[in-house]
Amino acid sequence: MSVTDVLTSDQDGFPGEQLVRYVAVSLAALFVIVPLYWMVATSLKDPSQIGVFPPTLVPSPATVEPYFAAWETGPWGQWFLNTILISGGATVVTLAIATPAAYALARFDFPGSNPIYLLFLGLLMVPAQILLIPLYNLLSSLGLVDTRLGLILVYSTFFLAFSIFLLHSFMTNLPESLEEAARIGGIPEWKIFVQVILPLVKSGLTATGMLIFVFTWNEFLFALTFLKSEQLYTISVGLQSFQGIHGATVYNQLFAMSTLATLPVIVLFALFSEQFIEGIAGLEMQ
Amino acid sequence: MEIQLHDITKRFDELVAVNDLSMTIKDGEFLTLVGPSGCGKTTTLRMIAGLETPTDGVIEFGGEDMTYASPQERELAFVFQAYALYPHMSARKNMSFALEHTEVPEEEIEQRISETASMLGIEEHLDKNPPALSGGQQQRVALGRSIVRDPEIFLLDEPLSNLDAKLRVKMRAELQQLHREIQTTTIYVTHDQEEAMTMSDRVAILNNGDLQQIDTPEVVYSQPANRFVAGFIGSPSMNFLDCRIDSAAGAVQTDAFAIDAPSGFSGEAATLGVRPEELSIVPPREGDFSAEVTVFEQIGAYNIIHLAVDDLDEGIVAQVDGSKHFDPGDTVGVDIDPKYVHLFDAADEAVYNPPLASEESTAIA
Amino acid sequence: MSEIQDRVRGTLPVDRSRLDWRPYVYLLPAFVMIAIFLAYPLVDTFLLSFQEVVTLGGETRWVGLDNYVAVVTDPLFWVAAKNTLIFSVGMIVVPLVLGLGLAMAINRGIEGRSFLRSLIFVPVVVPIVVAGIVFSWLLSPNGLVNWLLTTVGIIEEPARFLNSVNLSLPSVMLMVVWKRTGYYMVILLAGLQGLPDDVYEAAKIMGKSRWAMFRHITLPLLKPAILITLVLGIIDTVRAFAHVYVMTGGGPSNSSEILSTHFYQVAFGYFNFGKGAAYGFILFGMSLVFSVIAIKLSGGTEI
Repeated sequence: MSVTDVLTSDQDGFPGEQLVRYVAVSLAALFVIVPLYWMVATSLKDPSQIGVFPPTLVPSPATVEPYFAAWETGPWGQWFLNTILISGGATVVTLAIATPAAYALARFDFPGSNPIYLLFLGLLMVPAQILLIPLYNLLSSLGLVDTRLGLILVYSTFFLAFSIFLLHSFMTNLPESLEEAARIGGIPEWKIFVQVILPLVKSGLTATGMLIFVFTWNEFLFALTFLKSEQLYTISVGLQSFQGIHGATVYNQLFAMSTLATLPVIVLFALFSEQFIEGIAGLEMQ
Repeated sequence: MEIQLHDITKRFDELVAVNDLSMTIKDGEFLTLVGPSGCGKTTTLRMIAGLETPTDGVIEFGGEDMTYASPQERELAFVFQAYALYPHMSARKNMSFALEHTEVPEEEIEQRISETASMLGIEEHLDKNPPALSGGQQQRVALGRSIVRDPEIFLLDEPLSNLDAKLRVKMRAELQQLHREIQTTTIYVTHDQEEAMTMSDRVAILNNGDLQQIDTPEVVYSQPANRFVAGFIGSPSMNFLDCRIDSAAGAVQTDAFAIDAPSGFSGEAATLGVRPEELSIVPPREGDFSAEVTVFEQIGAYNIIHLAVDDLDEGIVAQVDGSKHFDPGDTVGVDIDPKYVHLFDAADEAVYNPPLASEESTAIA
Repeated sequence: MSEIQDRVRGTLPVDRSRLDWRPYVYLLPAFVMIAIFLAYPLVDTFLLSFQEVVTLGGETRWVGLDNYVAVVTDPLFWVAAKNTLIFSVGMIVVPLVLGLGLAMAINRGIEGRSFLRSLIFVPVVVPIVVAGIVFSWLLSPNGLVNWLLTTVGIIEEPARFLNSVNLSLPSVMLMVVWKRTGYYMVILLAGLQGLPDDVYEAAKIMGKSRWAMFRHITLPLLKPAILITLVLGIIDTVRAFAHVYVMTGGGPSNSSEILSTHFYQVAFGYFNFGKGAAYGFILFGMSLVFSVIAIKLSGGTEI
């Protein structure tokens, strides 16, 4: 008997339990969907339907005009490009640094491995604010404030510990003696890492990369702080500034761009939802 | 390639896994390191492979000091207990991977692989990945991976322990045949004394990091150096009884009976050892003493009887011909030939062993 | 001790005879990055927290603990602290409870668990700015919420959610609950799926009620998972910035100012980095203290 059977068997389920279950889930689903629907629906309204009360629930006629209009009103293309470059760059840099580190911690037993592991664990808990000023000062002196590279480096540092942990869990599950067999075979260390280990943790790399990409895509505080020029804004900062400037009058355009900003992330999530959820849940469990 | 170990010691913090071990492995011989779990055999093998570094001592390959050489530098082959195949590569690629980094030309690699594959019977599995193969097939691929490298030294770490019994017996025979064909120096590690005895030119028995004895299977069986070896080698294992020597009477005296001391033996002994097959079962009134059958095991080719003897705390195990049959409760007589007993002193060292079938001497180990 | 046990899966055992350089090389890039972008700036800023920036050129002078005192004696700090405490209910408590309920609801007895899990998780991956913007408009005078409330008759006139002193923070909290519940649900779902069946069977045979089983079996066994989410929630709460910044900017009249937004103002609004640095360390200290309290309260656990 599984937990399922035990807890759903009629004799001790309270009356109407199934109903309650379905109602709860339906409410939750509704709660989740409504704001998103509102965003998409509004993005398809023509200006006459926004700002009216009572609000129009279904756009009629539905038009994609706001998308084009918005594109004229702000440097959205540039902003999307920035975000892709920054998130992509952060993903690459973080993975490049975190993967060997995770490998060392997962597959080698050496003096200091435990303290180092705990150190990275502690780093996970550092809140962003404390890093804000130190990093701003550092980047200032390096001339990296208001550059995409600067933000990439900041993100990489920030997500390093998290990535190491995630990759670590994938690597400890590899078969034992794998590297030893390769060493006996005369294969040099770096080749072992690249041709034996890496292919075997492909799914781990994908999951971690996905998460970094999405987290950096959605991030706001650091992007706001380290990017000053409008043409360097990420999509999040751009949205916020657009709202600040244009606000109430064109929120169909605002929502149009919001939808566009959300779309890539939703698509990635839809494609990789398993890895996403495993990654996050698994990380907590560690 | 001859391998020499000089005073090899390996410590893991306070644990001494291998203690001052010295031995020479002759070129082309098949040597087995055998002993119970934790005796240091695998650690020793790994030190020879370069997967561990000795805390003390020197390892030489053909006279060259390889103590601190990395595994990559040693040019030997190692078959792991868990096979350690590369899961994402085909069997063929598993076998060719190591060779791709050498000067061996591609055609020759191909040729070696197909020869080895047919020798091992895995030709049709060459393009499959390890997860798709059975345990026995994986084992052969692991073997093949080592063979294609044409190594000077072959190391095997309990390669058969993950296989089922029938397959194990079959693979044992195949390995022996392989060794006859390839003639490479082979060091084999196992905890199964039967494997050690059947496959090796010589056997090295270890216990708690110490080398107990290293010699041919025949010697190790008939002339164990100490009580540990005597009890470890041979199944069912040797019977041990407390005893003392009555030098006046020239007898070996146990709690329950006395037998003549072996001719020419003088000295002290604290333990009498007799192998089950060295006990003769005779009619009840005859023999050195009588015993009652407690358990009768019918193996087929031979049978085992467990005996209880008055005044003896422990039982004795005897081996009889397959045609003889006994029931629990039967009383039998037991006869011991003084020439074929083993005597150990108070420190458990052997002080008397029977002569080898192939020799004439009374060896004192 | 068995030699096989000596070796942890796939790792080389501790080799004291000769130091193995390999793992250190693999760790090197990570250490370098952390040294440059984390350790050095942290130390530098720690020192900065005891200084005051006197010129725009960056000259400083030492003022000892003045910065820390200034932060802590600022009445706005305490307003923000109070608000953050309230805010944590929306960041942690409500999503946790709802997440637990939902996890239990969909753990069994319902089809399409995988789909539901993904669906309810979607808000977690929506960009925070987008969530803030959408909820801003949902709660605007012409927005959906007001329309619902007036239609149903709960209120007569559209309420000013984001603009009211009392409702600004709860409005942000609504968005936060929307965004975070899925996150907690997923974690607790994973925890639930790891629970052993036999304990429940034994309890059922003993005739325990469902509620008793929940209280005495489910909850205690979920404690580690809940604890982790609590600690991370505390850190997230101190960290939360865009949530408030995008929706209300901290207003009106600081009614929705939380520590994070206040910090940002102090640090970057007036460019007094010394004070900002001190503020940052104070925040770090707070999250540390609360995390430790949470761990201790739950009886401690291994990390």
